[in-house]
Amino acid sequence: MPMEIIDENKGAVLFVSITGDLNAHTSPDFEKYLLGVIESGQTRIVVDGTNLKYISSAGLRVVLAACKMLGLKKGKLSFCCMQDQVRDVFEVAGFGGVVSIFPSRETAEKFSRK
Amino acid sequence: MNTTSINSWKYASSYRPKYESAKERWGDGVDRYLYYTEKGDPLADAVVDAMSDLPPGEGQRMITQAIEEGIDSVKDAPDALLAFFEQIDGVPMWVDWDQLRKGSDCFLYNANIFLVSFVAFVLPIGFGTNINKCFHLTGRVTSMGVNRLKANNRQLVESFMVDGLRRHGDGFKLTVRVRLVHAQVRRLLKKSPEWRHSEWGLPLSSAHMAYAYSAFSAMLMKNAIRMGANVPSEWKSAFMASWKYQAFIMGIPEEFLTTDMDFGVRTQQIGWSIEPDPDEEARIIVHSMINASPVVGGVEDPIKRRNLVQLMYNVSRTLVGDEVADALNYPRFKKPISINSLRMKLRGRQILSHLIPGGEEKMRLENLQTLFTASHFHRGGFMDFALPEHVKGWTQRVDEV
Repeated sequence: MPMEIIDENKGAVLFVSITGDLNAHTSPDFEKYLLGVIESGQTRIVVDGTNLKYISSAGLRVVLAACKMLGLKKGKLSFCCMQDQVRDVFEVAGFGGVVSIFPSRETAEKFSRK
Repeated sequence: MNTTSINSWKYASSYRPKYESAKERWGDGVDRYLYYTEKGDPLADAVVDAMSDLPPGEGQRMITQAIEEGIDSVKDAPDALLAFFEQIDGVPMWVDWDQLRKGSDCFLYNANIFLVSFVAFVLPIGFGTNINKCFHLTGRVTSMGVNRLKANNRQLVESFMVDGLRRHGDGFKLTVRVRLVHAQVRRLLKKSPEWRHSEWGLPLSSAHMAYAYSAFSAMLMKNAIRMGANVPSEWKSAFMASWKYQAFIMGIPEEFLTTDMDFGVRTQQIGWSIEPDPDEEARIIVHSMINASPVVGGVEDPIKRRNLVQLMYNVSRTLVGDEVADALNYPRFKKPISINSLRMKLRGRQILSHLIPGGEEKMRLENLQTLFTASHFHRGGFMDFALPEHVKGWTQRVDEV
């Protein structure tokens, strides 16, 4: 399934909605996009997982790379509205320690603004 | 399939010397194993045969499209491709996705111990058999040891990610690709003047695929548990269930598929009992793999690398036993590492993780990062499965004749 990225600035917070799968084929595009916005100075990012159906290890690598970059800039990467199967991947992989996961956009935004 | 007597020997000659002792120990299982040393993968073999009749690049395009978008999207797909995808697209009744999720849980919790078990046990007892012959001839291990190990690890990681074996998952897609690459290598080696069929049997035979599957599943788990992996029985069967489905996608004959660890252990032991003793090629490949392991793990310091290689030999000797280790020309150690000290070190890390808040999450993440370092990630998709030039040359030479 092809992936689509839609972003939306809400003040200092950038919301990134992904539709489709983050897999071996789509992750390089997501990596280019995400690391690109971090490099350009964005430090508060919320990934909206409402339409993210699947994430493979290639996708997780991108998330880790983004966390590392944001860590250096004292930024925040969080996820919200994740589907159960993607949340499961994060849980099994131990991602709870590196990214915060919220049930709604509002709670994620509140966290990001702190 | 009939019981074989020495007078009517119909299998590869390298299996003959150990037949009687193996048969005495394991009975009819040995004949079943031998039967499959002459069997390939009919569905995948038919696909690569059909692809060879198509214009260059067309077969690869169809396969990629069928894997990514489904076989229905491929216009004018050959019958062989339709039959192949009919098999792999039909999820068997016994697949339980909740159980496979638990298999992922087990894998990522114990990944560091599984990696040690893989390098120190599964690789030596895998390449210590005739399995090494096709890898030796294609040069896919000795000249590309690091890449080969990383490619193997990538398949392992993707297959054990949650939902990795679903139809859209990278584990599923990668497993299908590997199966077809095996069929392609089988086809090329069969035609190669360097392949000694009467001595070694069919290249990448079903027996070898079943042996490898048993080693990767049951024996990997068995040795991980010996080294202290924390695996409740629920996780054990979930891990085996995940492997069972992977083996199904890989086209391994149904009679070898199992969730029973003892059955898997028995299959590997039957294979080892009849496979020829390790020869020079086995030794070259096993040493090459063990020496490559620190590089695969991302260790850059030369002294640390040397120390890690010695540690791997030491651990491997403990796991495979002195008889196999000596046959593989492993070094001997003044201070052999004991299973108990391994258990203390490896299990200790797990116990510690439960005492610190967030410790388990941290351990899982560290395990995942180790797996990432040890796996091949290719920008823009999966790694390149292109065969070395000299291997492609075999089929050209034969076809020209």
